[in-house]
Amino acid sequence: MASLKFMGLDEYISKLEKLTSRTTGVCKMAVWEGGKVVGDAIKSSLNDIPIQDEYVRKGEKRTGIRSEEKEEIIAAFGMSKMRTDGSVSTKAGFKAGTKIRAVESGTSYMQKHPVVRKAVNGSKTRAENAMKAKFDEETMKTMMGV
Amino acid sequence: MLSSLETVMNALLTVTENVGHYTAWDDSDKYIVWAEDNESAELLADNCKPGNTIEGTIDYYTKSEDDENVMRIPQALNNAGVWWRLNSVQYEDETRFIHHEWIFRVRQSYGESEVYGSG
Repeated sequence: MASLKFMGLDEYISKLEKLTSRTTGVCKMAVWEGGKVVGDAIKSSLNDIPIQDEYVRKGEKRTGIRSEEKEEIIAAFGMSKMRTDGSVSTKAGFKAGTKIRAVESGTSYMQKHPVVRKAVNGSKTRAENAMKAKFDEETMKTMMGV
Repeated sequence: MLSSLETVMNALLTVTENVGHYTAWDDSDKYIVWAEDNESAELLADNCKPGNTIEGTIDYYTKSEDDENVMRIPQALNNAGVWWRLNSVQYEDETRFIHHEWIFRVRQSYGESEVYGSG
């Protein structure tokens, strides 16, 4: 009578169990990598906000913001701490009190410059790839017993 | 103008004639300014790019708190099959404008392609 034997199944199951126990940690690492990509893209895009320090006459539309307002926006940008309430996430944002909303959305007297939205769109694919690469790397480490 | 953007423009014109592309037409009150500003997604196939999703914004400025155009604009986009999201609502102290901003996205194809069709 023929018989089949699967060798090493216990070891395989053990590695899968180890991978399961590391899931949250691996997700955090992956989200961190993705967040870094998007955060860096946003930080870089803030430098593109145009400056207009000169006085603008009533009725004319501003094309930029003052130098000190731009410095405030750049200083106010940051990433939140990682959250793990059911899912793993982080956020990019600005402290209150800056003109970033007026810059992004524009006003009736100031041209809009959606630098943050464009940076997020432009970095989405790279962020996804960075997260996937980290997942694959950590999964491989676990399965190889590292 | 990209063909997909004509859909957006024609939808907005069903709400009001005061529609400006890139700049305001008549910025005294109840006016729409809209513009595309980036690509939000791309379609890649067979080593070429037969299409993408164009993203932009639609801004409506009104001094009336109960302005019905605030509802008519998203309804017009729905009727035209244009994806939208309300991005912000701001009140300007200096001008007393209530400023609604919607983000829109439309699919655009380039040339003929078996994957994406034509137009």
